[in-house]
Amino acid sequence: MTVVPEPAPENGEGSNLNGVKAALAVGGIMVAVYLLSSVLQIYENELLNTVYRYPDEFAFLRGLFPSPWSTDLIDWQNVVLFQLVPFLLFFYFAVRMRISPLGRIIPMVIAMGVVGGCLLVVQNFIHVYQSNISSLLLSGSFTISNMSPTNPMSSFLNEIFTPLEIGYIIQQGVLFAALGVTGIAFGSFSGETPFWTLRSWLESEEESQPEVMDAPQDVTAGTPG
Amino acid sequence: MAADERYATKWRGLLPRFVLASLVIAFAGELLQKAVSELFPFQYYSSLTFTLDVQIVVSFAFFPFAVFALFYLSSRVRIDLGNDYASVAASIFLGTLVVALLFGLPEALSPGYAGSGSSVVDSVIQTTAGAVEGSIYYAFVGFAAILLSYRRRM
Repeated sequence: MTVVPEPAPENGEGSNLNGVKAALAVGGIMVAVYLLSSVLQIYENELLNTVYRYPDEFAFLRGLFPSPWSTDLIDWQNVVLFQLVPFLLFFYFAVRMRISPLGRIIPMVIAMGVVGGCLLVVQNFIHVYQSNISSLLLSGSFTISNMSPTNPMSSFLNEIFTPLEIGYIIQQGVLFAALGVTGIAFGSFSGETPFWTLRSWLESEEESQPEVMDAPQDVTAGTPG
Repeated sequence: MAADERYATKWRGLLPRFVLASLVIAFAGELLQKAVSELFPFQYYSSLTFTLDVQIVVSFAFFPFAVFALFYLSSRVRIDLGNDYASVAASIFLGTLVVALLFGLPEALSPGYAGSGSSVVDSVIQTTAGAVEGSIYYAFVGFAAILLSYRRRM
């Protein structure tokens, strides 16, 4: 069986499926980001101070976000983790995969919407098991001894199959698709990854400033040593 | 060059129009939310959750209106989106942020809000973050609408 290679795209554009691949890749990365956010929120809500009273736990995080400011940072942290990070990822993938927002984008938009909806389900799932995850991270045990006997999975399933929750999922899918399309457009129009865009912008800012050190250097170069 | 001159420039036509448009659209959205909270006042815990649910549904139903308005505006203004993409997104973000702060900050600074356990600084930080979060989503949705219009024109 011979594998026919995909023909090289014309005009330097990536294939139509690259947008779908990018959406799936960003979705996979965002699952890890949601887990990270969950861990950070557990710390910041000071659950650890009430449940786990050992000062050496999460010492690095305690140094980064000293209480009580940590609770205020949750909202800003959500802006960075749930908006800025996926936007920059789409920005990056658009450049690396040569995805154009002016080509066929319907498969990509549908994939982004589905990924966005799935991410909300993942977020709810992580939220239900947040205490168990923190217990797993800290003590190595997924079960919590003083936990109420209600099953988290049943409460998760009861919440997820309500009309309002389905509405939230659709809304999140639409918003994530808009985020992804914007990130793809930024990457395609700029033609550079976010790092190089920032670097070229900083260099252009430096060039626009007057060089005040040139005149004294010329004076000293002219003087006999 | 003659074709390029027909495009709106950043300061003459592009930024002011989109800042104003997003400001008006976001203002209408906030007024709609206020109307909902007036129609269904917070009296009991159950009515609070009901009002919040209605507000979320209304805000989602408001999306198509905002998208259509920006789509229409961007079809009326000739935009070279390949060059001015960042300016367009930033102008939508700024216009919406002004409205979000206009409605959010006085509420955060009111004595009843700050007296519920958190200090004024805490409530201002949280309100600002909420305003930025909402404005970024508005910018994404608005930019997607403008991109659709641009695609159609191309």
